Amino acid sequence: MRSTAFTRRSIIKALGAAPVFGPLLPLLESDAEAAPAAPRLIIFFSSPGMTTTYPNSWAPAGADAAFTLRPGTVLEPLEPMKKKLLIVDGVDNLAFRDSPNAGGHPVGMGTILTGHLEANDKSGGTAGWPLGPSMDQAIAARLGGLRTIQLGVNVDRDEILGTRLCYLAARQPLAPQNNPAAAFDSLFKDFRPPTATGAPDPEFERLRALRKSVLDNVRTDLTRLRSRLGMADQQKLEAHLDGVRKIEGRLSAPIEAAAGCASPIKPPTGTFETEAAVPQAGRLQMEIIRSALACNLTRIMSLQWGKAFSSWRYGWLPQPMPAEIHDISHAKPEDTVNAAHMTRAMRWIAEQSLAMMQLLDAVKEGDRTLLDNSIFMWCTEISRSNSHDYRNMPFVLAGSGGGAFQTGRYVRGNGAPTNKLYTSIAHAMGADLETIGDPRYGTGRLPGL
Amino acid sequence: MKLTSNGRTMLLWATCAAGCTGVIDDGGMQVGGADTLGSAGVRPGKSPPPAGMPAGMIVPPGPGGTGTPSVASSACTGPAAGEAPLRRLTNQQYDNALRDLFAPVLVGTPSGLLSSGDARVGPFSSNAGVAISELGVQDYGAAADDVASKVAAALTQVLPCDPAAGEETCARAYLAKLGRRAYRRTVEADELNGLVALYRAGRAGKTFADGVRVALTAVLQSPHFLYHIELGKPDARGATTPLTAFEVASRLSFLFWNSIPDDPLLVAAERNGLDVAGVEQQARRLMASQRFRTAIEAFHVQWLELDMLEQVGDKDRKLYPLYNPALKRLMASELGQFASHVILSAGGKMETLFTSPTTFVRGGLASVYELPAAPAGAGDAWRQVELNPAQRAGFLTQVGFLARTSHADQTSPVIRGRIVRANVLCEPPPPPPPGVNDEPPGLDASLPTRQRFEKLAKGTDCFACHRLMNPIGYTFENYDALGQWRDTEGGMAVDASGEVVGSADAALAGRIVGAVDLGKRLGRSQTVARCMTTNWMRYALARELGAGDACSHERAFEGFRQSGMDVRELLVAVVKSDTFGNRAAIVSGSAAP
Repeated sequence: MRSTAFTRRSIIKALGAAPVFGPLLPLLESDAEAAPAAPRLIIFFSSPGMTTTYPNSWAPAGADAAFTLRPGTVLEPLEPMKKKLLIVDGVDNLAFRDSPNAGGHPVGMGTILTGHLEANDKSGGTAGWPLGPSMDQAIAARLGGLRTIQLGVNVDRDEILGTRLCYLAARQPLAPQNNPAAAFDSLFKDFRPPTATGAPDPEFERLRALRKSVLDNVRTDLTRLRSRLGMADQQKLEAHLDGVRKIEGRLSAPIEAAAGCASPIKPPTGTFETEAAVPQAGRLQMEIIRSALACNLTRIMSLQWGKAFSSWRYGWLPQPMPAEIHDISHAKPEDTVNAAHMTRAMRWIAEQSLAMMQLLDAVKEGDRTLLDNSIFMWCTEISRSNSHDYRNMPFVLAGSGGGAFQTGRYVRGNGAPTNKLYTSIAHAMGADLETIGDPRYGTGRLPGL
Repeated sequence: MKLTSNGRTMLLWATCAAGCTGVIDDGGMQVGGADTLGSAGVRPGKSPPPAGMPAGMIVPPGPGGTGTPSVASSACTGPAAGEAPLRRLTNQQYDNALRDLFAPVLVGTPSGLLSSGDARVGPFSSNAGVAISELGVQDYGAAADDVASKVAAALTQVLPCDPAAGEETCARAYLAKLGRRAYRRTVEADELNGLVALYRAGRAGKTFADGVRVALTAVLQSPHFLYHIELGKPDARGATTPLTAFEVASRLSFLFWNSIPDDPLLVAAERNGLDVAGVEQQARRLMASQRFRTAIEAFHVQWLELDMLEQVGDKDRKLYPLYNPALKRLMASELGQFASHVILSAGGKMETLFTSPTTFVRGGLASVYELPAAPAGAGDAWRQVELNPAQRAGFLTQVGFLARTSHADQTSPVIRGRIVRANVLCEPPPPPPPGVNDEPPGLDASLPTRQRFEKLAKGTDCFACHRLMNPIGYTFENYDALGQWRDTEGGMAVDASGEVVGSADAALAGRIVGAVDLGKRLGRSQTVARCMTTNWMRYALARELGAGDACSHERAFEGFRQSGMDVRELLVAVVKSDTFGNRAAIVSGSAAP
């Protein structure tokens, strides 16, 4: 992909043209280079589970630093990144076990990142929405309301549990953006392109001012209406106002670019939302993640490969699945034919994980790479697919979060709740949370990371 | 007000709730999935939740849930009404509204630019329970930009005036006219001034169309366009607040046309013409239009959860060679056309929905029904057909329902029974307890489906609940997982006898053989009529019913019953009810800072 390089100087020049940023310039130029890059979090989600024989065909052999990725297993494709991996299993999703209406993939989906029980109703379709935020949102909130970006690949639009991985707060699902071109626009539209003279592009500034005026008008409507509503409805409108304020904020204050920041060219508009386009859309979304993180436009992103109980047939593989992957995932462990199909499909997801890691690892940040300064986490909604197991959940982490984690290891959680793993990640991100998810599952971090 | 529930049904549900720890096949969203390969996967053991964790609670049917509120008419004095939650337009309503606002220049579905679809209330699309996210706000902005650009490029086709005679005057006139329809009420002076100011900002140094485009993007992102806002009359006192005439007009229009009010409806609201008689007159006018078909289709497709067909896995094509994925859309459409036909052209009776052998086919649907292909030269258009009345009667015997409630390779008497019990009778069985194996029995050529399911539930705790579902589902065993008729299964005669266990309804009592018989019973059932009242009210109000709706529900049901269960008269009774024209007074929260 051809890139327009945004050098630190050109960005600062562009920023400097706006009077409001004038006084900040010396600070940016002198201090920004030296500051260590803040850790980033990238969540990868795939479905449905890892293997029909889990943990067989998935788990590495050996333990801790003396582990090997066995030939033919799901994780084998990650071999080139072995030194930067932190493979974790043996943690249980207890909120899945204890939620009302538990049993199916949607409940696994609503609990996997939240660690919160789901409401005892059908607000999320087959079961209730989770009663707390997902770990990415809890971390973002603790860090002062960081912007987070949820991207998707061929995720169904229905606002139901099985399609929603991330939650802003209790009962507040966050839909992922499936469309790379729209994702690009929302991240890079407010990036001021440098001009030859260093002066701002007047047309760019005019359009930006108009968008801001329109949002001012919308905010006035929302604020007036809010005062006339009951409590529950006020909260709904507050969420809307919050979105408007954040977008307005970005229009007022373009974000400082980091070293290595390169804006990708806008992905082609077109239909990337079909199953057939999954590989292409996935690649475009991963490049957007790389660029957005490198440019400091956000620190927390997720990429959701499809919905829970994925129905993909992996038609892009030389040998596609003979049935929908969810159907295959329910084969008995002794059904070796279907076990091999499932493993093949998940190896393809592992290859995408590797591609994401390599994209991040190619961005240098001082003597480290963007991957080193990040925590990449690949997760799924159930562990062993044919029994919808909530125990022994599989996680593949990569990157050390700037040195917080010791990588190149395979770590077992010994039945600890997922909540503890997430609390460890929160600390690595600089968010000093006592716990993530329902506090009744205990507090504190997962030892040994 | 005293709410009562049927004692016998309550008792059964309590019994059912106490047991139920074994094997359940509650396909739900996962129809056609869990069991396809006949796995008998081992469930992890269920350990007790940590101290303080709620156990899976079971809610019997009743007011506030999906059950039917029941109250003696004599207890109803004075208006009572339920909540009117703020809710975003559904994506379908958003598309319809934009189409109507900008006809004829806008084609397509602008909601395609929104990342999120709709949440649900029961089976019905409604965004009453969810808040918008930042991405959602951004999406509405992107869609507004897109729509406004398209409109600005064809502005002369929508303008009510000639800008050459005075640009700003014309912009103001257009924005007032458009705003009235978009906001479904008169646009206030300061709102209009704000829009005109945006027009001026966009016009500066550019064209008239640029100015209008900028103002349009503000209209299309305003909460007054994006939300159903039902605050009621401002000076009302007491527990119940009458809705404004404009709010009633919107409720009518979104109920019958799933879109914004047309001009005659807005004029009626402006002239205070929406008293009870006016509401009835408008309801009949809206129902007389072909646009009413949209609502009929949406209601029935969502009621029977056929909108979930896209989520349901494909059928096993080795077992069902006539299946292809394109059939899913046709099946949902078939139901919509059938229901529209019954309600608009065939007398409108509830009974007909459950008993008519008439249906509509196109393409591959004809072969599933073993009908000859379309006559030469007829093309691939929808056509009305009469099916064999000994085999097919009403929508529960149409392929959409039968296929949606089946797995990839076998039928599911559980899912068929559950949807009838929960959605048609409003007696939802409790959900399966956590940790149960929800996989159906493995395929076994030596046993018919019915016996494999019987074997699974028999002698287990599950039977307490499954006897409320499975024996209803067995009456559909003459239809395979694609909905094709079968007299035998694997060489063995099909046993399609069953019953509605635990119903107090005389129409449903005793042994029932086959789905045609079941349809006859359901079509005459007062339980079904009450449930249909409940469901049309949920659809009309886009929320669950509560205690405040009980009297309205009872009166709507009375209106329905007195008309001989004519669905159109049910809807007239619904829109004339207190809970449709009023709302529970807003308990104002302290305004957020």
